[in-house]
Amino acid sequence: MKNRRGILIAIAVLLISITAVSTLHVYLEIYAFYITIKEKVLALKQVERICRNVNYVQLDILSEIFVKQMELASKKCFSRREVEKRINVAYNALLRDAWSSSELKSYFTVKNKTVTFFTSNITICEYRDLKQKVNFRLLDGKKINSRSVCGITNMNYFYENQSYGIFYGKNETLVVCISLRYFKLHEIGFAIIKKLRERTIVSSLTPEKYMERKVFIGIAKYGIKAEHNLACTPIRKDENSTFYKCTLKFSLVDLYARNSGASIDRIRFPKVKFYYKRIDEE
Amino acid sequence: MFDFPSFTSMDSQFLTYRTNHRTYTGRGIMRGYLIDILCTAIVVILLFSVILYSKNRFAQLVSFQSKQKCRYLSEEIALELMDKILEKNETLVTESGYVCHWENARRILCKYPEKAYSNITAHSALLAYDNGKMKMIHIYVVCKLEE
Repeated sequence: MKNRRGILIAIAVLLISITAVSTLHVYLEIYAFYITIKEKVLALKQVERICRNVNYVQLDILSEIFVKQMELASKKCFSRREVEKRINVAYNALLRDAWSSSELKSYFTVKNKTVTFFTSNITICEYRDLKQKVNFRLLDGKKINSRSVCGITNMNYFYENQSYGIFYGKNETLVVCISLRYFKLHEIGFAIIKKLRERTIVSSLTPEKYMERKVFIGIAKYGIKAEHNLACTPIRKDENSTFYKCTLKFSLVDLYARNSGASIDRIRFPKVKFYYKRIDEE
Repeated sequence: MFDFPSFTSMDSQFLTYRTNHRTYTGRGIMRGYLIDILCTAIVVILLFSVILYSKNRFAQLVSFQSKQKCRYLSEEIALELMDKILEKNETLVTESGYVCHWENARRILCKYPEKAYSNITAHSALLAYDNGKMKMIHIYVVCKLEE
């Protein structure tokens, strides 16, 4: 009887110890699992931080290029195609320089795997073409109008760590805008140039008055003001008329952009030459 | 109805069984005790080694978790610093109460004021674009001792 009880007690002690050890082991395993999961979350947080940081930097690069090139475009009066081409060339050159540093490789490495990101070319468009949900950064001026000009680029981030069992993918759209209604002004300005270039205008008004009353009259309704400099030299005088050779230099000022406090608020157009025949009134 | 045997009868049957099959002498009892002691000793040694192993593992996990917490904190601080660019000679008090300042041109140090520091330091970095050049800013967070 005594020995049987001893065996039972021994078995009970053994069982209790096994239970205790198992509980301890399970607890440690759960604890280790919890820490592993938290480590994965931390890795994802790091990847997220890197992506956000790249977004910020990329937006800075985009802003710098966009403002510089739009400033140049408004002085040289580039076409839409030319503006887009120039911005893309400058943007890609700057990106190459900015991201080529070897120091950055370590920055993009999380748990021995690298975060990769791709950028697409910039598309230039008016704000009304953008989807409402896209967040933009206003660079020049305090307000944005539906015809404000914007630069858009897409960013694509990718991180896959199979040995760690985590994946991260993200698409972002970066938009920077200035208040200047570049394409509208460009269209109006070139319509004026087309109307005058190498043509002979016949009128009883003085060339200066003709400009004010006939050429720049309709633009006010678009919130645009013209600043011009007209130089006319008489080349021939007939019985009742005078021929002039004129050169017009003009800029169109976007009153909306100016009132928004934008520093780029005008487009300077190429000078246009035309002939003017003023008929003397009897 | 079932007829359950009484405890007395069961006990007597058991005793008979035991006495019919084994005979215990003094030396046999001693051997039994020795086996018991040996088994108990083995169990105790195993148990102690398991407990010691667990203690070590637990200590390792706790220390790893402390470092992990510090790295989490450093991530949070890096995000805060990303949103608010720190000017030179300017200090920033983070949401977690850490004070960050520029240690040199490329390094920001964050410490908890008026607290004992642990020897855990976490590092993270931020990229900044300045005058056409990319700059990497290193952020070091010296974590406080946990209460």
